[in-house]
Amino acid sequence: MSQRDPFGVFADQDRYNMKYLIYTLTIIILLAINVGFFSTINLMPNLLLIFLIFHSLDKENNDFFFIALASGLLLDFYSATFTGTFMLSFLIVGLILHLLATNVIVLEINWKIMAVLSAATLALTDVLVWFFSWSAFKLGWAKYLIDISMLRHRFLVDLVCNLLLLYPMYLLAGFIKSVVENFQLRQRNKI
Amino acid sequence: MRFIYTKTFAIFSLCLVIISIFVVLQVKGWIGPIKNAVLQSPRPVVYVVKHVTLPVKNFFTTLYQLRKITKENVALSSKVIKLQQDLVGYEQEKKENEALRNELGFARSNEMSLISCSVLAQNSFEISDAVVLNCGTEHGVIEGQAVISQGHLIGKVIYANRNTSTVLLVTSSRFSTDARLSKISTDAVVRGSFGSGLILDQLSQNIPVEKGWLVVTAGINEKIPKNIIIGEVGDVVSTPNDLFKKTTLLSPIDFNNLEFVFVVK
Repeated sequence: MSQRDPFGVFADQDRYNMKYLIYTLTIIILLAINVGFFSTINLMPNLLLIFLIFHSLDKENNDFFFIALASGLLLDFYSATFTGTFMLSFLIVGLILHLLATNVIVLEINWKIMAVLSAATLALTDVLVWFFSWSAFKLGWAKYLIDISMLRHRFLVDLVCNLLLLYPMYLLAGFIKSVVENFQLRQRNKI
Repeated sequence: MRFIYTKTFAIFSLCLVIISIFVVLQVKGWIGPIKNAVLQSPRPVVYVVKHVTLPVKNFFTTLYQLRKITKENVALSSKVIKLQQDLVGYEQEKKENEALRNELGFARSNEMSLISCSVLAQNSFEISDAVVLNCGTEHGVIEGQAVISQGHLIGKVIYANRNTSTVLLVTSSRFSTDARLSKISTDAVVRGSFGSGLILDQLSQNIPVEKGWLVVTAGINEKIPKNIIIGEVGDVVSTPNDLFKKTTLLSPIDFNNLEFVFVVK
């Protein structure tokens, strides 16, 4: 038991808060790199979506829910869409991937499956984003509608960029996961 | 075990509740402070990354386009000389205009009142062709106002919160505004096109149009003042059999890297 928390009541809470803080910082940095670096060189991958994909395919925990909500919220604000458009899209996409990974895909996930999943995820995300934006517009909540022709127009370029960044993001996702696990292990050992 | 009885479903339901709360906040217009705070958080990192990336990008772009830059330099030098000659004539006309106004007692037309704003969220993902500014209703921003950058129209305000506002860019396919060819004072309409350009539309077929002519706002919309430069006429994209003549419109603004803009009051 730590001196700060002799009864161990807040021990779990501290571990969870730190984990979410690490994820939040990672998401902010990924968004900043997406906006600051890739948009400057006129490429438009979606690093947050790729980060979500890797965490959704992790069968051991449900951290992808937090990543979907936080990434979606940031993207909603950053792309000036109606709040909830990206949050809902990422949540549904993350859940579908997680259910696929835990119930359907029996074999170890390899890079071929990853490439197909990335393409399918990007297509589904675009459709969901357009659908939620259209719904918000029809309900009178949003002032404008996302043009699906633009999403179609950019799909191939975005897909190629995402596929090229799969491996670096896989390394990053693995690194963040190991940081979180090491931190949780150290906290458990302290208590 | 059924999915609805699992921990995953419970967390999914909780997430849906959280999203609903955010949607309600957005609909009620109370999301401004959260949006402002969230948009400020990545700014330091974006600033650092951009200031490292831009010089490197400019270096390689310059090398790659050296020949084109040299040709542009020569063309711009001759254009500057011609403009300087024109300026001398305009200065004379301006003095005469002032003297005549004073003689006839005409009131001076007001110069534009501007609100300076920073772009919090740029059009980085090219999804909505809209940007978010750090000015809102408490700074005097209202919906429908024009937004300019480097003297050119870049969009109009479509949504104004207390601390932030959303601007629809001129390149959006949902944007349109009245316009005028400054050379011959003919009215037309400017529309955005697929996030990649501008189209000058509804010109009569028998009106002569030349490349390079300036297109400005016509001032028909009361919230968008007249004589704000939109761009220069490019290539004609319609055929003689079409009802109206259409041309492309070239704007020197980089809509993906806007940093500081002005809202016209």
